[in-house]
Amino acid sequence: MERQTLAAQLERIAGKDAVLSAPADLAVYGYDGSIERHMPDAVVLPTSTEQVAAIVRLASDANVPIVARGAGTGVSGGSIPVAGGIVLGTARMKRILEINVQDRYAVVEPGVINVDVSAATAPYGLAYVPDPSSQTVSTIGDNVAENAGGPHCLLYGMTANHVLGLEVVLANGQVVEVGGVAPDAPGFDVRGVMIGSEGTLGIVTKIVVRLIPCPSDARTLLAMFNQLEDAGRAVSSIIARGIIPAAMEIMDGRMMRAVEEAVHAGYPPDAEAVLLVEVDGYAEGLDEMTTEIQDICCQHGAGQIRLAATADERAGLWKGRKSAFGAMGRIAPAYYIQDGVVPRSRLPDILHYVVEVGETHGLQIANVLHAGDGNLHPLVAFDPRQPGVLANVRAASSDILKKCVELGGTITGEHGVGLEKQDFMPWLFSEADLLPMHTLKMVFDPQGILNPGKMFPGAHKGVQQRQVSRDA
Amino acid sequence: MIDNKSIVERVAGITGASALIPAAETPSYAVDGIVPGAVAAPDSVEQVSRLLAFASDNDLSVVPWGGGTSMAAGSVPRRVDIVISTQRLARILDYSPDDMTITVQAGVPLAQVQRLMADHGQMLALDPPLPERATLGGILACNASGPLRYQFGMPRDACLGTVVVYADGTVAKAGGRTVKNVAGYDMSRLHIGALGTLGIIVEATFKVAPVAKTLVTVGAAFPTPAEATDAARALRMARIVPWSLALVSPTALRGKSDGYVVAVRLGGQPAVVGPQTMRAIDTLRSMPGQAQALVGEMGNAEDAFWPALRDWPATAGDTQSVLVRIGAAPSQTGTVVATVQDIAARYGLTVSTLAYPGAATIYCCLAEPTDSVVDAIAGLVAAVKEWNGNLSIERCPLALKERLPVWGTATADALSKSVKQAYDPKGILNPGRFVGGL
Repeated sequence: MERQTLAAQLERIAGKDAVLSAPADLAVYGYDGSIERHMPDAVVLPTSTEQVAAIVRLASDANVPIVARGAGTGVSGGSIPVAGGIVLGTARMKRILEINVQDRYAVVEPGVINVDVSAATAPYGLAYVPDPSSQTVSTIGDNVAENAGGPHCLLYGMTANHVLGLEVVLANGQVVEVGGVAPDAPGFDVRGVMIGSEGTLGIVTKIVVRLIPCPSDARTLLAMFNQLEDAGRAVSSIIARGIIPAAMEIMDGRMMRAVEEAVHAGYPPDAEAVLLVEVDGYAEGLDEMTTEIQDICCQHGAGQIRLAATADERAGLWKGRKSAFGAMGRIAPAYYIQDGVVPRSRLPDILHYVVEVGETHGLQIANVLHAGDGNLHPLVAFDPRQPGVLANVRAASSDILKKCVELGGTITGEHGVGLEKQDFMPWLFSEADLLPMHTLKMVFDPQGILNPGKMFPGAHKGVQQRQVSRDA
Repeated sequence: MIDNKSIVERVAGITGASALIPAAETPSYAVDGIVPGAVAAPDSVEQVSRLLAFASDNDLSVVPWGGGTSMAAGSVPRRVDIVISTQRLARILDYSPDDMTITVQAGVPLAQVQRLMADHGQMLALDPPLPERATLGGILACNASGPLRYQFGMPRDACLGTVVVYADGTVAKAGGRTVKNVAGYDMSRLHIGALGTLGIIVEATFKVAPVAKTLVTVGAAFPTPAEATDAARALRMARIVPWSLALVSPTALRGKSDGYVVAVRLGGQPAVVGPQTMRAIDTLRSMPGQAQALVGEMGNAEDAFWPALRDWPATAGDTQSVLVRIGAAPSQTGTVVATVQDIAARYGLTVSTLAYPGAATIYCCLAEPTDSVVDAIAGLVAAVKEWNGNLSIERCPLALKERLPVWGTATADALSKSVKQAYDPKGILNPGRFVGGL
């Protein structure tokens, strides 16, 4: 379908001011937080489920690809329209439709920003707890598409554990409700497979999120170590003691020094690792838990330990961690973030390996880890103006992920497979393993219009080849 | 159509004769009175795969069988040609206390896993009925749960990955062994609660939780369901973190209660549990109608009370009872319990209920059902629909099953039919037992 016709049809459904077609506007919707980009043919910003359904029907009738997009903060290329087509932005579907205090749920549109949910529910003593690092910008729809995690998923679980129900527009334009407030609805768990399906099985138009009572109190502790491995061992010991903190984050020396330059968090220059631990709940028992954690850190050679009790003090300790990605700018103009997972007990092994990779490839790699989950985020610093550097960065990154898999882990803990890691999927899944997933995709999207080119090995190449033969 | 004798021969050819359950014992593997042609107990995933491929090629139906604790669930199957028992797929494949994950074959009973992990101060935070028999594969397939779900959620919240054998014999893994993993579709979720109708789960990995250092249960008895549900609500709003919260009708437990018992279980470090215990007791004491003498810590709760509740859906009543499960919003707990009682009274039926107000899940046992139970349940189904809830019949006398809506008003929509058609085009896996006759 011609771009003009497409735009006209979309305008008929969503109104003139909902459709963007100027190249400069299209470009804005063609990239995400990763280094990939591709122009869509049209962008539409609907305001209702009915409009979304009509848009998807149009896409289906015209055999045009369609990709839903929230804030575009994804780092695996999930929202990039590699086959062109329609980008459906959810920015105008950002209402919180209902907050039910007694039954502890909220109904939100997909464009609602993650932190805005808890901000709205806080007056009722309730919170939506999944806290991906992008949470001040990313939307619930984004979070559902990738099954987002964050530091607090150690104790509280991932997005999948906090979504009670979904309203979804399927590839044929049909609107279905799956899950709901009443538990254990008989039937196949379509809600379950939809979460984390990276926009390839349907477009989510409403989310029923689970709310829990706000943890009434918290203690945060920052321990500094001279060796990265000691921090890792402290994490293992804390868990072995039967303590599951709300969050356990590690930053390595390189990350700490960048952060120190950027925000002056007060890290000593010779520390090689900082461990941030947060416990929350009702006040009693928190101090005891904190003391126990402190003792464990000392046993593993922690030098300085800082404690925070008030909200301000805690924010101060977290400031360094939250500035980490931004602080990378002190090291290099760009960075490439990875998202590997290893079984917790193998953290020392993978961290060792990351150092080796940095040396072998001549790259500076800083580490931020959701240590409690074994989820590491190596940040590979580079200057994009350097010829050939990107290939080197990708090679280093792929080496790290391969090692994660060898150690019994996985290629993505929370960022998704998307474009970026689809060709690594065979490290985890054989052809036979992928077969039922292909079948699921065929059931939900026989035409292959929903976010084509993602997740499956060779999917992107397939799209590129089809485009070449179309243009030929 | 291949005859039973040939089925037995061919199955023996795949698993070896020793893995075939003797003909004299096959009646004990009957599903809703239908005795299978053959019962096999393969001891490898490869054998399961070959069995399913064989069944597929010959249009034979297959019923997976774990611990057999929930075989009464679901509608009457259209056929039962081969039962595949997981009793010899019962190895613990990998337990890593440091990583807090465990990988097991599907036939491992839950209690065996719990005993193993207890030595390390760990547990699976799952407590469905009859853990000595219920297998982890079956627990996943039935989405079975117990009182711990208040704090820890459902089997899907603990399951990190699975290996499934599909109807054509394809063996496929999904998920992995780490607590965080978003690679690929979360296929495990599709199979959890699907009663084996999309594939047979042969392996699963779970995340484990630390055992509580202290467990305290506080309870009180109330004269009416309304007062009891008010108390349960107050406990939900109180400054406590319950591990379990239950509301038990007077006739539910043998020899118990002068009223409707509300019990809350608190778990964790002693410094945490102590003050919460006091707050729970204060909350209950402040409720009108409570029977003063009975407010307080329930001694022996871990050995008696909670196991009784845990097993209740499986053991309440007798083989003639109808056990109904209702899912509703937490705020509707009181309405549900009251409505169940009204309907039972109207139709002259005896009913006892076990409610978990947190979810809310309400189990109702209609004992000694008369013919009017069909109308009573119709009334209940209508009420549940009004509440936007759901209902299923966990077990009932076979004679009644064909007349009762086993899955309430739930039907198979177009999407579900497509899913079933895609994974089991010949309809060999538990045919007819799932929602909508899938």
